[in-house]
Amino acid sequence: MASVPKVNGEPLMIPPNTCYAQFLNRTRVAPIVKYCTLGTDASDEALDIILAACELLPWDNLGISNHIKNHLDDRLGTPWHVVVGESFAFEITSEGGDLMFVYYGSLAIMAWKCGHVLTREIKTKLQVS
Amino acid sequence: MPNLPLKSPGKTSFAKSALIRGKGSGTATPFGGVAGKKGGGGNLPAGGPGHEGEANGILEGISSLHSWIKTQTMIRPTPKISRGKLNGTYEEDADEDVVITLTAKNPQAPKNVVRFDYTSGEYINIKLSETMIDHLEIESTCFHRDSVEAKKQIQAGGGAMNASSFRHLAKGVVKRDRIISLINTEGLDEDEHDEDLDEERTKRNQTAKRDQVARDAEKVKAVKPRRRDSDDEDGDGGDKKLQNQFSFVERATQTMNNAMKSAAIQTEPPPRANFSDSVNQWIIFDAYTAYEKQKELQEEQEKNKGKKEENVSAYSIKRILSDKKPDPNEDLNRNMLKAAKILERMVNQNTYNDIALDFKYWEDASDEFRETEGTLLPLWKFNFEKARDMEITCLCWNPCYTDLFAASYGTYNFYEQDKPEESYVCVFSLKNPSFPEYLCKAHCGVMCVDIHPRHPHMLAAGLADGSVAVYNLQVHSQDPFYLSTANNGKHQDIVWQIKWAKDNLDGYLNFYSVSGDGRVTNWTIVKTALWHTDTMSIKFSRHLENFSEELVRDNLREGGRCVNFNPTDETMFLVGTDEGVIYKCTTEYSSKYLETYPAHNTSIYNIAWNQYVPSIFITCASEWMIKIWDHNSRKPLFMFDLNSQVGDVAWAPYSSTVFAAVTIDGKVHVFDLHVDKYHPVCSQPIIPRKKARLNHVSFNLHHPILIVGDSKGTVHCVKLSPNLRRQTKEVKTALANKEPKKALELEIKKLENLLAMVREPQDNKGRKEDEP
Repeated sequence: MASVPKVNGEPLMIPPNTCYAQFLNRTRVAPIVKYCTLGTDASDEALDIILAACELLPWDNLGISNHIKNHLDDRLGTPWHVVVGESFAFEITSEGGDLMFVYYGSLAIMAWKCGHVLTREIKTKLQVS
Repeated sequence: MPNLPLKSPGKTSFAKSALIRGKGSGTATPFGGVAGKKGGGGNLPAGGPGHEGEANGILEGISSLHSWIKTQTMIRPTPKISRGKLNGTYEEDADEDVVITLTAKNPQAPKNVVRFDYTSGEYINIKLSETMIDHLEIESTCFHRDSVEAKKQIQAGGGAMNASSFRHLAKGVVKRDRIISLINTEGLDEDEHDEDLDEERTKRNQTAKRDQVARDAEKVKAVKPRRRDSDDEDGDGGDKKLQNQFSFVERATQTMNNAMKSAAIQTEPPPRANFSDSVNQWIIFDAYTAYEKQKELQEEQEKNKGKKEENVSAYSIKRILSDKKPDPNEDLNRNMLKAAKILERMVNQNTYNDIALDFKYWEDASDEFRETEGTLLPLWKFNFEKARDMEITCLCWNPCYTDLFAASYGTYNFYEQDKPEESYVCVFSLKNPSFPEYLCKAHCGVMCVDIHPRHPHMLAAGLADGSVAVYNLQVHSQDPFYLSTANNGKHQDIVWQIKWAKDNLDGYLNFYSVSGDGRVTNWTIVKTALWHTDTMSIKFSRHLENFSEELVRDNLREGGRCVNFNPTDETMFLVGTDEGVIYKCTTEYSSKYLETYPAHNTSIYNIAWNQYVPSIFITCASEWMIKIWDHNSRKPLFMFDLNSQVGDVAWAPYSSTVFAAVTIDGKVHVFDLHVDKYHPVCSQPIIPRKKARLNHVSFNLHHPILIVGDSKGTVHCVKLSPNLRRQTKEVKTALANKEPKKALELEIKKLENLLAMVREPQDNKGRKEDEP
């Protein structure tokens, strides 16, 4: 997916090919947290990040996921994996069970944390040797 | 006995040795002792008794020197023997010191060896050179460097110790052995050994070590003049082994390998959790709608909290009224059943699609080529699984719903009347040939059935055990709505026919039944009960031979087989009996007949009034005859012989001159009197003869179809071809002009014309009235 196409300097608003997408996106309802295993603070932060990303980069799923992932890494530790889409199925393994699954408008955002234990080990080994 | 001189720090040893030299060879004693002249020397004690004098002196000498030695004074005898004898006196020799020497000479060696010398011719003394004994032999590993062996070794590359190395050694402790060996190689005798040793020892003791060493070194030097060159050198030097470029020395070492030990460790994996889900647009939408609903609910709750008090009363009233909650399942079931029913119809239509199309549209084209004859097209076949063994005993079309008809199941076999423990009345629909629409259960065989003309849900059935049942099709139950019991006027014999009548004056439904016990009974349904009244009883008509008493005869009754009411006159009805006699009766008089018709010789199976001309009726019996009568006349108008036992006969509803009959051989005969008075217009076998008999026939009121019931429990539906339904032109035009009355009149007229031809003149009327 290329960067957001621009027309006269403004991004071109191309709605995705789904029935309710336009309806939902126009009304801009609040996000529905489908499933969340983080604590309240962490989940609030994550939700803020997600909302900010969606507001900032509409129609650009790649950009949204990138944004969310970077910010989550900063705030809540590496490494986070983020999937943004309108219609998908998944089966993921999350270390420690940190998950966040949110519906927002017509998008569904799935973020989980996996791989931080290994990185920790690598870091400690480097320090030692 | 110590052979060597005792070691003492004194000077005695020296002296002794001198003494030994002095008198070496003089005494040849086996022991070779040393005798000391002066008492001072360490004189050894003499051995042997021969030297008494000497011994005494020795002993004394010893004891004086060594006070610690305790000696035994020997007592010697004093023999006076000369010196020449062995046992002589020793006085002369008492002071003589006996010298004991240790020599290397072999005392046992022969001293006087002679040899004969041939030159001189005499024996010459030979002196043996080898008369030495080895006293001491010490093996040594050293040998002189000038000896042959040593030279060989040196050449081989052993290397000898030169003076410098020797000097090194000499600086340390000088070992006695080495010196001995060195000296030994010079060829010294061993007996001088000790002397040398002593000399050395004394020298050593007296002089410094270095001198001795120097002397030794010189000796060594003297021996080996060759070595002078290399004496000054330190280190090994000396004779080096000659080497070329090919010779090498191989040295190898092996380090110690440490023992190996392995150890392994595995860390615990971090806790992981799996999660799987799928998301679609509709899932999201549903989630949002649910969310919004919830939101609304919450808002409402909040609102309601404020307005709670006001609405309490109204709310409670509402609740009370709508207390009865409909069972949610009921709706579901009903809908389900409805859907299932529709589906069943669809499936049936699909299965029997061609038949349905034939029923609707097919017209036999060959009828154009046939003048009068027609054909019957077989359509559906209706049967009911559970009633497979039973026969069709009656057929009746529903007057309101043209596709519904009722078929009753029973058996005509007299001996098997009690066999069917459960029998049915099935209401079939043409739309569903596979299963009846309604099922009515009966506890024994059902022999007749009738549907009320105005209340199509009321079904009356007569049973084989004489009871009468009424079924209500609106109620979803298979059991009879009303059932007559033994107290309640149940017939004593099979109920052969049942017919609904018009509602009586009070508005109750009623019906008539005729049975084999000779009673025609009127039943009335009064709310929940069934009342009966005997309308009449059929009197026994035959003449009894041996019974002359009237009483008995009066009580006997004939069995009635069929009953039929006049369509126009409600009170008049016809009863057919087992004897073959038809009585015209009226409901008002129970004992008297209006008319009797000697119709047949066998029991009458059916009587049917003509719908168009109500004075005409048709009868059939098991004898092969069908007869058409005018109720005013006792003689039949028409008679038809069908060559086979007739099962049933019925008038067609669309024409006044058409009727159909079924026979036992499986044929259906259709007659049209207008077309042919004597022969059937159609005579067609429906089922093979041997399989089943045809029992009943009935015309559908709206469609050109016939239903025929057989003895195997199957109802065959048959379509009439156009020729059979032929209507006169006038009728057709009348119908086209939508003048049903006119059409009716025309039909009637048609029949009347026909009858006029057949009817006898008026004089027959008189005869009718005479007979009872």
